[in-house]
Amino acid sequence: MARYVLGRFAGIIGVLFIVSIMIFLMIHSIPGGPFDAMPTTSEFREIPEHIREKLMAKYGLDKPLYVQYFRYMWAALRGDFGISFRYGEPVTDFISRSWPATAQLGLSAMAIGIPIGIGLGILAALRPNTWLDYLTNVVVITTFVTPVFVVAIMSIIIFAVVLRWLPSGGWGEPNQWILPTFVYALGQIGGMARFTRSSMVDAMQAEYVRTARAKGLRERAVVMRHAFRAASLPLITLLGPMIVNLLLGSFFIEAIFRIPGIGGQITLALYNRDYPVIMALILLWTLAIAIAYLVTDLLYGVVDPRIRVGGGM
Amino acid sequence: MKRFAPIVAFLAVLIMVTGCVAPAAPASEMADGDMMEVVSTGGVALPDDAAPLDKQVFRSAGIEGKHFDTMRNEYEGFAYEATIEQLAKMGPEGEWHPAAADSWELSDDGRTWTFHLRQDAKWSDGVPVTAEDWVYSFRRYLNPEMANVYAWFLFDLENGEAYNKGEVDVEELGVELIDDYTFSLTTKVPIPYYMFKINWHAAPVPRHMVEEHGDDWANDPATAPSNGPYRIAEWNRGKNVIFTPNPHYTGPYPATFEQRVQVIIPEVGAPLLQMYQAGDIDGGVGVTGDDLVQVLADPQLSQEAYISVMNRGVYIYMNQRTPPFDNMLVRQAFAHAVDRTSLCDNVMRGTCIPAHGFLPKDFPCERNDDPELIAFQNYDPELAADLMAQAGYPGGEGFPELTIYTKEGEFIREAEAIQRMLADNLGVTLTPQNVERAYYVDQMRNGELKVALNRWGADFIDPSNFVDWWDDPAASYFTGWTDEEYRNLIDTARPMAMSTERCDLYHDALKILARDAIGVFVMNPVQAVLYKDYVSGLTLTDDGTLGVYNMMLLDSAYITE
Repeated sequence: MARYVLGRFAGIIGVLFIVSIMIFLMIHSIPGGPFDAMPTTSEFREIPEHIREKLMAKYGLDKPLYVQYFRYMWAALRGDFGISFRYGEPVTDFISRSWPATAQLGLSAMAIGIPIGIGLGILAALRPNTWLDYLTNVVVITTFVTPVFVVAIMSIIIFAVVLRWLPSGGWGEPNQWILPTFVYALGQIGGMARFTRSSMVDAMQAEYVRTARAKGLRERAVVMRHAFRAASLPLITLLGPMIVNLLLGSFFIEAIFRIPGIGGQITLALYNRDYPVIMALILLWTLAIAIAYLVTDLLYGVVDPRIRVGGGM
Repeated sequence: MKRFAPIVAFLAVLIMVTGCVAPAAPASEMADGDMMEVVSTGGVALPDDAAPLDKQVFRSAGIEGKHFDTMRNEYEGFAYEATIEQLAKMGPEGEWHPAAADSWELSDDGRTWTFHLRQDAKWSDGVPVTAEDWVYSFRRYLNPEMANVYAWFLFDLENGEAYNKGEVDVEELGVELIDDYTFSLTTKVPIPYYMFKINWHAAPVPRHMVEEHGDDWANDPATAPSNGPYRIAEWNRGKNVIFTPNPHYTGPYPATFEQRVQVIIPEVGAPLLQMYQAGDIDGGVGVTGDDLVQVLADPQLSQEAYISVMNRGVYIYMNQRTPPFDNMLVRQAFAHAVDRTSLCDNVMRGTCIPAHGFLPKDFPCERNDDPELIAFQNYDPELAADLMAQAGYPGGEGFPELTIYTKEGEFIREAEAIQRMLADNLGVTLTPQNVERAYYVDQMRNGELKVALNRWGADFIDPSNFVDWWDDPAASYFTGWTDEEYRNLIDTARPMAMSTERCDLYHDALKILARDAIGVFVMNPVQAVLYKDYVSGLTLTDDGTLGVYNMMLLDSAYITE
């Protein structure tokens, strides 16, 4: 087991190196650079050439690409991910001050969205083709197809502008958490419920469920201990990347509700050609996804006795 | 040029709050004896209808700046206007009022501006503000080591560019310390509108803090004292910046509010209008386009809207270094093929006004009603088709298929309407494409971008700001256009004091731009800036508008019950 995990970690490090090279090459090959024009001006006022050269030199962008890459990696290995061109602060500071808000939002949205989604899915699966199932379906499909920014803006109009119950955004006060958390959670419910329902419907028809019933087990035990346990396998596959995405935030939610997190910072950083931020966030994301899959694989073994990872456990 | 809407909005919102004109008669004179006089912490007796002190908070929105260093931060988004005190402030009608400088004079040759500072001025940490701070700041602004991307803004100081390039010593720079409270700035040539440029953003940095903490001084409110009516109390990254009255402020614009708050919004995506409607910000929200239509249709919002034509010209940019736009006939055909009235009335639902020249409506020297000017670019599809045929593209035949670019989501609908008009009237195919800024600039630099819908907004109120642009090396680099006659006109006009003769010269220059269709001038957007009805005491123009670059807008403002 330990060997298996260690092996996987070695693999993750390899992946990080490959991703770092790919991303480095990609961001430097996008047309336009961070100091081509005035930072926040919209028209084509150029930065005077002699100043531009100074800035390029200051950030080491005047060196050949491979030199830039090795410098970056050498510094990164020692925990220095460079200074954001846009924010003027070390990328590590930027991420460590921004991430807690994103994580809090993601965890709260998960805490609400995942149980509700799974619950709705199970309910719908237990009573297929009844009004409960149809109602769940309507809710699920509505939340699934409505883009999150539409839901976000609508919720602001209803709860902040018309009813005046809640602030339109911001972060820090508990009443500012409510809208984004629920909007975010709502987005998770649909997928979760649909997936749970279909897995559960399959599981409920399996032989072992009939066996369990034949043994005279109570329905609750049949559903939770036998059917759901089997049905949760595909859910775990879904949950891994979903949790990572929740923990890394949503561009729309954070922009619309003015949450000072890292969701959407990749987009903004690309837009601003803020190379250090792009690199750091994509590497972080890669790492998180890789770990999520590792954890998922380990969980399979826990949930499904048929699966053994890494030989003798 | 600069991203102007936000800036105008900012100015409007964020300018210092003070009471230059004592806001009103003291409450004690009023009949109601029970009324308690409300005196702000800044020492201003607020009018009778003022809300209690704990409600005297004004909140506006803006993107997060990098730091508080006003001398290397133009256009980067912090509400410095609440904390910095410029040498002078421009009032609603464009007149200058003393601020950090009690008085100033211009030398006979029109090149040297001497400023006499207010002698009791102090930083918010109690340290006196001296002429040395100012001289130090101007030098630092241009110091080559700073690599200040805005340095070009002061290149017209004597040796400004040379010093910034490291070619001369700092002593050669046109900034001179005269005594503790006097210093002067000398420009290369007379610049009658120089007050605009130096007071737009230039403000001193606290030398004692810079010397102690290096550039880090500007990252922490504790080491970033201000010289204006407010000081920076808190910077909650990603959330807000809170300004409170500066206890050491002695100038003519003391704080009326107990707090100014800049709510930080992301660079894109924040629903400003909804934030305003929800009451999370109190004013300074500028809206254009569809939002403007919505505001005007709303009974409450339309009451709170201050409407004006923006100081912004929208035009079709054409790269004239290569075909097909190196051919003047093609450009002229484009100019006559755009139905600006239909664009503004139908497509944009009245949120812009048609333009045929480069100066925005009501800008100094603007003569957009001149029939001669209009005739160069008026809508005339037959003439347009004719010109196109003369250019060798009858009915658009043989004309390359091009992309008409927009950027950052701005002017998408305008571009679509315009490409339709050009297709109908000239038979040309232009595909609208919206791209991000960095890509746009890159394509422009390498000449791949042939045609785009672009804009220019004023940095300061003088025609030179618009007219000089086309002769700027940066601009001619992009458009590929230079013209001797044009250059002579603007060089002659620039140093002149404002007069009809000066405007005549500028108008002649503008006619050249229109005649040769260097750009196809399309429209000026209309904007509404919203302030809640409980924000009273705005310093407005005589006809009740916000005024252009009115730096005193919020100086006497307060919150009513």
